[in-house]
Amino acid sequence: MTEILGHLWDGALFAVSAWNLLAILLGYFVGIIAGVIPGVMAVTAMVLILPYTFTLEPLFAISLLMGIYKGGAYAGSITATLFNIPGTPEAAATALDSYPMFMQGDQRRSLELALWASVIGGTISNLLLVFTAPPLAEVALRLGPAEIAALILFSLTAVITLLGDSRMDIWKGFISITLGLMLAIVGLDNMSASRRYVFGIADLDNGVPFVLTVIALLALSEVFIQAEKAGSFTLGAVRENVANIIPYTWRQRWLDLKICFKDLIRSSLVGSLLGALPGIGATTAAFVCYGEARRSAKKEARFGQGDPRGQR
Amino acid sequence: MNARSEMSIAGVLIGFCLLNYFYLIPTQVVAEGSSPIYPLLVNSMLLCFSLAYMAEGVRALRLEKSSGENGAVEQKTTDHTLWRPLAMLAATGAWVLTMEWLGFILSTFVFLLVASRIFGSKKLIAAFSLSLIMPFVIHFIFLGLNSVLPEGPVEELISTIIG
Repeated sequence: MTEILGHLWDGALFAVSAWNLLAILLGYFVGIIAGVIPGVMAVTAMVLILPYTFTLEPLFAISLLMGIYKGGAYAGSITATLFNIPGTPEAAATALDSYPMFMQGDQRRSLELALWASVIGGTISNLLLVFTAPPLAEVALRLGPAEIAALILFSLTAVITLLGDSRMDIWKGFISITLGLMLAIVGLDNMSASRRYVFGIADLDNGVPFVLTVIALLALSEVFIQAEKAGSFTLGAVRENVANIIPYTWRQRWLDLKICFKDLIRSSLVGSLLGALPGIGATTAAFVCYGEARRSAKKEARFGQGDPRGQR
Repeated sequence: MNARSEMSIAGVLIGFCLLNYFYLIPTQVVAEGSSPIYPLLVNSMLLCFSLAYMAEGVRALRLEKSSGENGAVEQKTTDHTLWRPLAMLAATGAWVLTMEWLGFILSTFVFLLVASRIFGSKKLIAAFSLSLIMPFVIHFIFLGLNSVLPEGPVEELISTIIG
């Protein structure tokens, strides 16, 4: 433990300088732009900026890339809140409650809640991984096919908690899961490397790209929904339909923190654990945490209608 | 969504399952030398869930009829507003398919113009200007990042001018 703290202190002495902080700010700005655009995401921005970092100082370059990643991780929730189109797949869970909050006039509150959740959750997960990375890595290395299959089954069953209360919604949820499994069959078979459902198109050999599928399904469906609504009201009616911006006071911030604190800590811990396991990813972790928050909330909770705990 | 729409969707899903079982799996899976076990398993799951969905739809329809809901009015409203999303679907498909031949700039320009008309934009000059400027902005951003967008006559003209 003291060794880890010593290394952290040495790293901080090197990293905390004006240039590196500037690099983080610059990277954060680029990451925000990348994360806001659906489909681009932080990783894509990092890959595009990477060639330019070859000529930079190593610490400056690493700080820049870190800033891009952190900015992109949050920025997906901006379009999720304002347009119901998540910029990143994991922001789809944020959109479930942040968009209804936006429509009720709580734009400032929903954007700030998402920002604070990103900052606090990111800090907790960073600290957790610094101190628990070695044992977690050992556990992750011991996961075999059976354990990974169990994790995947766990991810699928976690979706059931989000399906709604009526029987119709539950059957629709099961059908959605099965259609997703069908979509994943497209491409080369893992065992025999033979083609399945490629229809002679060589580009489908690697399957349907996951990120593009999620963004396209969510973004395009929202476009079609807005197109259906477009004929029924004018721009003036749109402005009236979206309520006036409700001010967000410090007292409300404190109350929201008190309401969401337990869910925030739980989501940070669960997200850190699930993110460290292979084959899960941030998207699954986000939905599992949302489902857990919903499951543990009281019956009068307004999940899906603008509950602040839904954005954690 | 009313019960008839739910039942229609369930019917489409059941039809897809049957198509998959009798045509797609034999031609796209077995004929390619792959094992059909997993696709058959997933297809069977989908069929079961779709049948349950259909049964739930029938139950909901009976409830609607017994409570005397005016589903006809809702259907009429749905038909009236359906052309815009269908038009957007067609425009999006045409945009994706033509991008390979026309290039990103020209196809996106046409797509944005068509989309603005579908959404009912009355400011023609603003819509035209935005449709003209946006593809060029995106093209030059991608150019600056050394990334490639589908090329067409306009992109070739730009690269000839830039050199």
